[in-house]
Amino acid sequence: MTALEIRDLTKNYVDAYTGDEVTAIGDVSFTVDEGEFVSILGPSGCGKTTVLNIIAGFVEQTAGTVTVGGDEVTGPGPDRGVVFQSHALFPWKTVLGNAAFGLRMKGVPAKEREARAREYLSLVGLAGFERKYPHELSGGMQQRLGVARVLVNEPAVMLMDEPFASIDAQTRRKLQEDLTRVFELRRPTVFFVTHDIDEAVFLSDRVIVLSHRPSVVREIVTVDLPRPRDWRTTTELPAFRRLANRITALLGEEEADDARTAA
Amino acid sequence: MTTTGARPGHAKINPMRRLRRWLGDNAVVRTLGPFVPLLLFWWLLAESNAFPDAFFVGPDTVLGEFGDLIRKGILPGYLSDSITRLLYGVGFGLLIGLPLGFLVASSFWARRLTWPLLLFFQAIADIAWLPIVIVWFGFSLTAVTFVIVYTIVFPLILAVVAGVEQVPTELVRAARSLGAGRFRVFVEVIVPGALPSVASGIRTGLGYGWRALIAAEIIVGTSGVGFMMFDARRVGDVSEVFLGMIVLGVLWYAVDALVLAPFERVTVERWGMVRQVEAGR
Amino acid sequence: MTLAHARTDAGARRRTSSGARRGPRSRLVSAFWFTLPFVLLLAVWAVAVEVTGTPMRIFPQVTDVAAALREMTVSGDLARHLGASLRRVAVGAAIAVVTALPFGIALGASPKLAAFFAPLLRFSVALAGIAWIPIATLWLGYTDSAVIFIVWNAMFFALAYNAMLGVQRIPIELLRAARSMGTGRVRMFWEVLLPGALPSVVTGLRIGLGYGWRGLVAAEIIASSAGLGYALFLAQKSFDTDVVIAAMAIIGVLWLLMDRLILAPLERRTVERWGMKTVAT
Repeated sequence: MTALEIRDLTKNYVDAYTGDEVTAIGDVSFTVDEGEFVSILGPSGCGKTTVLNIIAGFVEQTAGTVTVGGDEVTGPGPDRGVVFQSHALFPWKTVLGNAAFGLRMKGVPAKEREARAREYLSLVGLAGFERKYPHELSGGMQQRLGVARVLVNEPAVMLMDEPFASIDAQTRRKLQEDLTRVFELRRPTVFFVTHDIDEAVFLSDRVIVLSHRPSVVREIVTVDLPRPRDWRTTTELPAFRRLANRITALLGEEEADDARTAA
Repeated sequence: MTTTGARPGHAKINPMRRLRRWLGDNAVVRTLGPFVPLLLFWWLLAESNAFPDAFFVGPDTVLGEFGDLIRKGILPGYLSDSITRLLYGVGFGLLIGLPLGFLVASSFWARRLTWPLLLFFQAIADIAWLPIVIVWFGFSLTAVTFVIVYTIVFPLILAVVAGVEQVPTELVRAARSLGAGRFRVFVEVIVPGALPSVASGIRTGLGYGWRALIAAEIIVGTSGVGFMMFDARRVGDVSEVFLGMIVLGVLWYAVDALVLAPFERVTVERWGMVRQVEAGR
Repeated sequence: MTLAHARTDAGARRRTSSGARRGPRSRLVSAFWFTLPFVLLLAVWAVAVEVTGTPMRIFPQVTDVAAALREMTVSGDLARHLGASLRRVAVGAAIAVVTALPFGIALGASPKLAAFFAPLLRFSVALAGIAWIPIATLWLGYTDSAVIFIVWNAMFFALAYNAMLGVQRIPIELLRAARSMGTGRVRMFWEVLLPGALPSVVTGLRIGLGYGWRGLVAAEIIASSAGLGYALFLAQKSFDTDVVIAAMAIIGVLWLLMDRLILAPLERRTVERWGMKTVAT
């Protein structure tokens, strides 16, 4: 079942300084099935975050359609939960308050939403922290809360915008493993933006590689590594290295090409 | 923390130390304590007769005057007059300023059209409005209230708008992607997010309002602490002028330190937002 | 990690940062948007007075005020009053800067001095300016010096307090780095403490000037025979509302100019350029 469908997506914008019209996204099309974990990668400036923002409904596309669960996307909504790089947690709400926010918006009664929020908080490993405030948590824990906050609403698609980019390497590994564990348990549909190739291969079922600007889908790499995955064993598989190298090569070509055209 | 002669495993706390620690912890002592040497200095200065009595009096005289005016019921009367006016002004100011502020902040055009005007009108020192207000309302309570409301409303609106604007867009997006509609985004994200700035704006506005009150009382007044000082000056009663100033200072200091600053600090710090509050480190 | 593209989502407001280089066209555009509200206001004003037939005594027509302004300029009154007011502000501010900055910085650098003086400073900020008018006129009579004293007073405390805070906020590593490179006392002041405290100092300047300006107008209303405040007061007495409004407009414009042409650029060239953020007090 298709959860998310992107068709002929185009995005132009006007450069604030030069006044020129720039095409960020040229023509991007792909689909994501239910319960799939799909990452998207590309050379810097290729507009992968823009794609996410368009899917999320924060930004309007110039052309093309975004369909989620059969309906076209016209604005933000709880069917597409977003996990931000800067976590975007509400500093004035407790951990529990943040987690239960979406349910509150849906009108779920207090007792039930507290129970569900607690369930997802312990799923991401934040049990016992319900009364704390976001600023009291470490960066890794803040991101866990960001994930819990979205998952508890059981969105059709969970959009993740380089969520671990500003976390230190060690914590990042742990978070990636925890994310995989949660994913394998609950099987949400995930659309994950990253620039870290190993991360993409480790987490995903498929990896979309974008070309440089104006971006199109260069290639979609299927990651047929076995699940459940954990960092040590999975990364030692020769298939892992092969896939990562393939993507690295693709990106390298794109970046060289980009430099050439820009020159 | 042992002193000689203590048994092993037992710390004998020096009673002097205990007293000092208790004094140091006591909030009242901490707030008022530093003024003690200054009071002493003041008293010495007065006693030394470096300045003639007509210009400078010591704390003892002022204290006497204080007692005198309390007994006669003059000071409490003036004080309550001043405070009532201020409260009226603040009440209306908040009532007008807060909604207006959010209104301006929420509409792109409202902001575009009113922002320069807001800046300009804030620049016309509230005091400068007194003459025209006197023409309109005469030497009356309405005039004074008008000036106070005016003084408070502008910094408040500016602060509300600034507060709303600095709410990170991502928080708004996060709320929307969690299913919050426009109204709920406003109530759940914008208002709390703007709160530190609003609290700061209220504090600033009140500070201006206080001053406006005094000036208005001096110029227009028939009662109130400002008027008291002005009248005292007219008859050359220095101690009453000093007294007025001290009462004003203490009052504002108390309100600011005990109500406003903590409120600001609690909202900002508790929410751990990246802002700094100036009161007390 | 935002892309530099125009955001189309509702609720996102963007102001070009003052650091961005703006072409002449965009500056013209922003000037247009700045003046438009005033033009609209004047239009509304003119129409309202026409339609309601308000007498000039209550609210003058735009043309009346314009005429009054012209007359003031021609007769030289404007120059005289403007000159008097500006001179007092300039002198008062200059003395305040020269006295308050060293004092405040010294307090910031010495915890002992700070412990002694800081409470008094904080207390005095509450009183700054207007509350001193009665005592100032007692000490100095109804003179020019009294007005200058008020301006100085209004600025001194705010400036000193903020300078102190500014020094206290300098990250300790900067001080240690300087000291470990053998910086002596005097150089410490000029090269480290003063620049380091600059954000707070600029804030203090802004606040102080705000108070000073208000104090000036109030003092002139009460205590003098020349200056904008005085002109306001005189006009009010003879119900020359057109002159009153004209004077108010001048006061507003003056402060706006002062803020935009002096303070904001000062802030931009130092604090913002050095990447230091100002803290709202």
